[in-house]
Amino acid sequence: MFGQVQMLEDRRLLRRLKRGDKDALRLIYERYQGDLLTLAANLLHDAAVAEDVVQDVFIGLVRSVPRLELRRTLRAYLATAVANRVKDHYRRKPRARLASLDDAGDVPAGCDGPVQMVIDDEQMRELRVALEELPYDQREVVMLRVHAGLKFREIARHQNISVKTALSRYQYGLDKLRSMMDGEVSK
Amino acid sequence: MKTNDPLENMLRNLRYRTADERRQETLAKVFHAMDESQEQSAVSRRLPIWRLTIDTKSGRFALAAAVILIVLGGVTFWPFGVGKDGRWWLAPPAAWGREITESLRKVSVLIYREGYIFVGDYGSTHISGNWTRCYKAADRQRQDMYYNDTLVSTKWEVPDDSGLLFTCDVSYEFQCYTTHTSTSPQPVSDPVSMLRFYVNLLDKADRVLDAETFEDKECVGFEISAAKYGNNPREWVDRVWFDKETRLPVRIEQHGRPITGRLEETLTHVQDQFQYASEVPADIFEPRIPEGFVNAHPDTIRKARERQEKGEMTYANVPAGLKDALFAAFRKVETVAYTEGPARFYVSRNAWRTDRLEGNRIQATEWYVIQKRDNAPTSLDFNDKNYRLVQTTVDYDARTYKQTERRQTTWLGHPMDYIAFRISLIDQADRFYESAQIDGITCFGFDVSAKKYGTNPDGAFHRVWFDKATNLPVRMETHWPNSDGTGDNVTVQEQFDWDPALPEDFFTPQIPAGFTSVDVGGK
Repeated sequence: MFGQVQMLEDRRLLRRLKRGDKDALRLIYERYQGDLLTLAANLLHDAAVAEDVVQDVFIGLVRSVPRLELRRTLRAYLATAVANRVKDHYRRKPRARLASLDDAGDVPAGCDGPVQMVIDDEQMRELRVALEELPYDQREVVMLRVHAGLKFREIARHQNISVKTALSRYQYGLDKLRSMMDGEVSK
Repeated sequence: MKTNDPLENMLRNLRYRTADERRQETLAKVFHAMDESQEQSAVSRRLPIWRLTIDTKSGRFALAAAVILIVLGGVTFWPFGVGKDGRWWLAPPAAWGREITESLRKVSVLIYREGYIFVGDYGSTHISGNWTRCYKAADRQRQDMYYNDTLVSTKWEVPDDSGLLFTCDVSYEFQCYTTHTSTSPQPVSDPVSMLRFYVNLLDKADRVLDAETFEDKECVGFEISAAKYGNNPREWVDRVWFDKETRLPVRIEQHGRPITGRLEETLTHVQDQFQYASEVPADIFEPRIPEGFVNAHPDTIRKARERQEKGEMTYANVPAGLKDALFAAFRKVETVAYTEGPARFYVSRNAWRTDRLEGNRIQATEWYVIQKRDNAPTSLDFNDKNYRLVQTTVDYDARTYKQTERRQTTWLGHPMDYIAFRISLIDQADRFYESAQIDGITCFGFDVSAKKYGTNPDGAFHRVWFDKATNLPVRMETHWPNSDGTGDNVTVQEQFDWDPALPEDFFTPQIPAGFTSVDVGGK
């Protein structure tokens, strides 16, 4: 039910956007920018690139809006666009995958950079490092589920896998994170 | 999505925020893009605005060009609404050709990626780590050659002041360079002549291809045998895809090309990531030789290094034409069975199986089945959606089974490829045996050092024996010295049975009733 209401609201905003209404664009940006940045930063572990990805996604949205026909929520559409751009980034720069957070120096908590973690404590930092160790496919499923609220059906379509595999990846991802966190987080 | 799982709640709290200033900056850029889009839209009456990002990688020596953004603002390539309901690809091919050729006139610099895929006789594919980024202008060109993500060399061909063609080849791998100036003016191929060539073949196309999506663009394409435009074999097939929206070429594949000196596989040549520009920064075409690089050909340095690292290589006198004869025999084979240690392998074109034996009893069976879409485009990315290898393992002792699916085509090669590879080494043999009795069969054979094809240890070598009557392998040995110096580790394939009679469902996985599944995870 919430999804249907959300889609109606999204379509209304898109109609306004197609007419060139900048307030609609501002509304969309403010509504989704935080989730998308979080999604991108957790997939990339490079906040500067994450910012660029989110910016590109919004620029892509305004350019494609005349042709855009929304068949799902705008949030799901934008989250998938972020995930696609992150994948493109890794395809173009495979080594980026190898760079550790410490090496990158882009998102260290407590720094004065433009992007910062909202909650910064030891356990969250450990979680962030553990997340980086997760195989990308699993990390993507976990993040799309947790931060974009995508249904497993939508994640499966995005990764071109079965719903069952998407569910398994999610579960394996969580299990692996638990084991990497040394049992500090129990179920 | 509500949950009581503490980990999920922690993950949900793993959030990032942007400073207000940066948020406003981004929003301003998005507004600007919106204004730009609307202006262009007004000018071009709903025609697509074409943006072009030149994708470069930073080279080790800061040689690669900086990433730039070029906007072909206001250039309208396509009259809107040509063809039935705008579906121009349903119009006669000649109409495509006219439209596409017209658009290509607006392009002065073409940038694209060239990559290579090796295709084994038995259908397996292997993507080469070597690829090239090409920059082509009307009178000059540049090629950046990579191995995976490392820039290994750059070649420039540019006119000098007197109109002669100056070629500069810089090898970052061997820290050397060569230069050459032509003695007479030499034309560089027009950046779009290759594309125009294909467009002009539209009327001769064998078939229109299924719609595909490449690089987030919906594409239509056609297939043509290379025999139609030259004195080429019919099995050389080319496929060309065009962007439905811009109608410009997006991808070109040339299938079935032979590889010099390799009879066991063919090459698929892929050109993609096309970018069409009206201009690029001039320094892209400026040859640059890094300080300290020596003037020498990379082959000279490579050979000198190899001699130093591997010592002098010896080569036996192998009868001329023997390699061709061996492959002529091997290519007729459809199935083979052989033994390797405690396992019996059965191999066919699209599937193989391994029976793990204890005496005569089968402990476990593994089936490998290739699932491949016919005539599908060949992906240069490792995650090839058109190629799946499904492995089913049944453990008769544990009464369990498991199934895994692999898409990475480099992960597990086809056993026939391994056999073919060893046969292919005959022309590099260190030693040739004219006649010997192996397992009661009159054979000839050869030894080849593994150093001949890679950085393998001293003493590693292959020995292969062939039946003199059939030219097919009888026994294959691989000798690999143990790293602790305690002798060789030897693996042997033997008891070959070529084209054995096997039951029809022999390569179909059979899971006995009552066996339980062992879930191996989401990969």
